[in-house]
Amino acid sequence: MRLADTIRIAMSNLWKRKLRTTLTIFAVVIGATLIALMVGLGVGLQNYVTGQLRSLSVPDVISVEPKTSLGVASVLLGATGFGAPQEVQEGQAVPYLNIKSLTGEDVERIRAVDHVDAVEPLVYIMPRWVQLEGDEKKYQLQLLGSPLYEIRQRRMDVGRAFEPGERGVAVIAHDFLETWGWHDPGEALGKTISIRVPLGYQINPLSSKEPEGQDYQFEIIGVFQDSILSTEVAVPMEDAITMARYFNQDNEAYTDKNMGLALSVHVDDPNQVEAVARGIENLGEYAAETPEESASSLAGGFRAVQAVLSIFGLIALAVASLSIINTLIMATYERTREIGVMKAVGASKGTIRLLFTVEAGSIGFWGGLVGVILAWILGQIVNLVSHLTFLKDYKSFDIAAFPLWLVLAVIALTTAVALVAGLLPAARAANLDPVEALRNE
Amino acid sequence: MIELRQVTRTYKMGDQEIHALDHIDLEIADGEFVAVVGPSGSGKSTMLHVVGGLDTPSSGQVLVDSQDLARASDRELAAFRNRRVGFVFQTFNLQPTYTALENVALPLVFAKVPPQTRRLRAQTALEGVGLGGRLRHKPSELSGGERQRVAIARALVTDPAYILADEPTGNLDTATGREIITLLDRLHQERLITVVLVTHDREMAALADRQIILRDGRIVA
Repeated sequence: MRLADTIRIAMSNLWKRKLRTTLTIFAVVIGATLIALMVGLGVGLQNYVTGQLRSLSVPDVISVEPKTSLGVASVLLGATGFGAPQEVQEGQAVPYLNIKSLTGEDVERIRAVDHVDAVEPLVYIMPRWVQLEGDEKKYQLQLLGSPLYEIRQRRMDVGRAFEPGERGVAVIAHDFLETWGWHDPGEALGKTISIRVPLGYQINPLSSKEPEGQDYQFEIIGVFQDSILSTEVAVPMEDAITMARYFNQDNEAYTDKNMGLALSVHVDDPNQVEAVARGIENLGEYAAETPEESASSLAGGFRAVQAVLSIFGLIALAVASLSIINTLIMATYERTREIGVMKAVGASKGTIRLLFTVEAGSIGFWGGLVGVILAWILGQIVNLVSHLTFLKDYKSFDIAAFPLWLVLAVIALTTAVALVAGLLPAARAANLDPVEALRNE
Repeated sequence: MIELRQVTRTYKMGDQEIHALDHIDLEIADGEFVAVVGPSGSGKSTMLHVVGGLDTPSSGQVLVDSQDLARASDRELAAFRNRRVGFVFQTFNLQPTYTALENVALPLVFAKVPPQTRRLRAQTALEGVGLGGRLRHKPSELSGGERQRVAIARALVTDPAYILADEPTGNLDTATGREIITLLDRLHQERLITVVLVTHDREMAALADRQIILRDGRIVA
């Protein structure tokens, strides 16, 4: 039988029982809509976050941490007293994790890896607030010491990166423009901000007393492009280290004795990033992550969320497949005689099987297609509502996205599920004894 | 040329074995018009089904133009039914939702004939049985005799060498039945088609060149 005839006959067979076929397709539609919508929401969110991450991260910088076999679980287990209490060393950074701070020796070993251009510590400080000169109000911020090679590659609305050896300057996040009422990013340039660094960690919810601290002044020389790091303030490494030493009350912080818990490694050739990361890991004591890897590990997290959400759709699809089996088995009963006639005039088992398989596949195909269209419509409504409400400031971001691969994958999935569901009825129909079938009233 | 050699067809009915065909030996020459008669349950229909490749014998050889249907694959049997034989049934077995034209064209669909040619050949076949004016009618809009003529047109449309008719007049009144048999006889004479007619009606059988009488799965005359 020609393919066109197979499809035509299969369609006309399905259409003979309009209501039943429509209901069966509708069951598939529910599953397809759920899956497409859930994955679509995940894709939208993932696009947003990874897009942001890409715009933030610099492609030729690797982050390196000491390798540890102990995870978060051991922190919890250690804290709750599983096993004998572990010995605590003076100066040990995080006792339960048994992580040692990195040293100048580590920096030298990593610097010796081929294509490593520079190694800098990742300086971590918890500031109290940032204040604009002449403004009483204090705002939260995320403070980062930024190496030159990194800040030079960041995208900015206006201004410039630091010069070598330059101090007392800062590049601020786009969102501060609104905070301080600047309509034109250019207005920010030349303004002075003051950052309060407290003395040590101040996480004491029982105390309302403002801890002791010190203010550091910076001139704004640039504004980053809009990103998810909406409270970011980047300052030169030297300034960050000065602040960190005050914060930690440790003048040896970020010297050869103690380089902190993580390093930023600049690679001199963008094509060697992967090789350098593996080279550092081969030293045996470090874990290295490229920007590509951090993006994909984040994407992996989103995929897990999508998978969980899609389970509902898969359950619906499983139920729909039972409905398909039922529909087609009913059809084999109803059409027993017709199948007998087809065999008498020259249809082989294969032909009958193909006919029923195509009918099953069509139910899946149309269900998937309608489901994707429905999910797209619902997605547009979600996008519209989100743009009017909680995503007012991110009009360019669609929370639900339906790339072509998703559309094709959902239709392929529903079609495949339907084809599998069609196996049993198709085999039943194909194996009908023509003599018996012709006798059927 | 149809040759049956020691053909047996047994069915299981509960614990009982029923010999629908019991060591049948038979030859039907090309261009013959043979009537198979006998009481109901004598194995007439089973023999027709076996000769037409619709049923396979339990043992023995079914040679049609030297092809042994007893050993043919499902695909080969389907092709055989499609091209070499045409069935005509007592209950017509037309697809109720198809028009006369579509019913007649159905075997050509399985023969992979393009749609244009299909329509043309189906129309010619319908005109050949005197139904040129009934192409777009559905079976429910046709009389019994007309329905059987549609079924005959369907059997003829692939130009088969054999027409196998199983009680084709059983659901028709005597006059219409005689018309159908006359039509089959005419096709046999004009186109030299071999016709095997299963009937329990002696009068109809008398029109055939030869009569084979079956009883309890054996040829008795």
